[in-house]
Amino acid sequence: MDSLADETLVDMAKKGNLDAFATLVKRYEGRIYRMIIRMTHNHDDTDDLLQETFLYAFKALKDFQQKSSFYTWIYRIAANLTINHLKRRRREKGRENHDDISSLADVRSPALSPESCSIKKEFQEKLREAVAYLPLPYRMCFELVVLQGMSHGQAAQVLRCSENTISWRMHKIRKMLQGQLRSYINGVQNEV
Amino acid sequence: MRCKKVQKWLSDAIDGELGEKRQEVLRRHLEKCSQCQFYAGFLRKIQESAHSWESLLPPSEYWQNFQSRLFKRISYLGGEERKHLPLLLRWKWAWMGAGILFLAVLSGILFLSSPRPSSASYVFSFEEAMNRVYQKIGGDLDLEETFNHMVLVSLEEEIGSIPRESLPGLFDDPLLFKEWTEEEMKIIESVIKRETRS
Repeated sequence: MDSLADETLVDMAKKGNLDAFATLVKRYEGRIYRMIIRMTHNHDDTDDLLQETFLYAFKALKDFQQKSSFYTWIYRIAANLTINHLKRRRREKGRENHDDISSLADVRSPALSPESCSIKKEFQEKLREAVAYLPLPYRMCFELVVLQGMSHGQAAQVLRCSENTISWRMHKIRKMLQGQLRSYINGVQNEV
Repeated sequence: MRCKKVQKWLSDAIDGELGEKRQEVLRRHLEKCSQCQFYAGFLRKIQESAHSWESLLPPSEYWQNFQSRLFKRISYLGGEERKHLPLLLRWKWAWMGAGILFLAVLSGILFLSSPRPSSASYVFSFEEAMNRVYQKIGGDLDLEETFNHMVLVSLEEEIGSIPRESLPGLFDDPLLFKEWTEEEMKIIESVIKRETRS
């Protein structure tokens, strides 16, 4: 079953084959987990959202006509649920523009400690903070294109916009990051 | 070429979305423009740094537990969907049965209470008609004789020259219709039917 293509597994799952659906879950759970946790910075929220993503996908499978790939479809579900969750959280907390990334310490590798920060690590940390401060649609765009490695076309399908929109968003993201990381750029360039 | 445009193309190039012709134009610009070279370096650094972020994946035991929790929820889905259905849809089979029963009862009531055919169509039940006549006569002998005579005249007209001997009892005492045969009854019935129509 692991060697079967997504389309075949989807057809089997539509007919009630739970093993086929389980294979699809196993195939994408890691990637989607990474996407969600980089947006939420919280294990519990990520776990809930991951469950909701696959549960929603299972329920909606009968209506999925495979006009797009299962890959972009499941990401679209995850992205929508995550963005809605974050918007709800912001409304509840009354925050304006950014999410608290201090909880990111919970999910970091234990090997990273302040004492061993080099310029590279510091840049990495600042980059992470700068990305967390991006508006939600831009953060999701950065996540999909840079971190998940999607093409502009795939990201456009997930976020239900045009490729041109994705292209301009990525350009704008990089310009915003340049503004936020200006003081670190020289140090980084030297280290390179 | 303007650097603003080049920097947009650099963003596309780093995502692998820039066409070959534009890549060539970009390459020639970067040979001459240090500002854009610096920007290109910065973009590459962002990519490298982002890709080296920790994997952030939980331990493997999490995934086994995750799948069992997920499929447990999936198995409850049928019941949950039924719970969230309106009452009308939840008990659809009961409602369908009740509907069929209602229609059957209604049909039965309509059938039984439907008006009987008009008495005109039952006048041809000869026995019933005769019973009604006797009720009306009520033991009046003169009336009885008049009625007998009318029946006989009608019969004679229809039957014609059938000898009286072939229908014993009929012309003597037609009121004893209970002793008449089936054929005799049919003859009389047809006469009355014709008379009634005219």
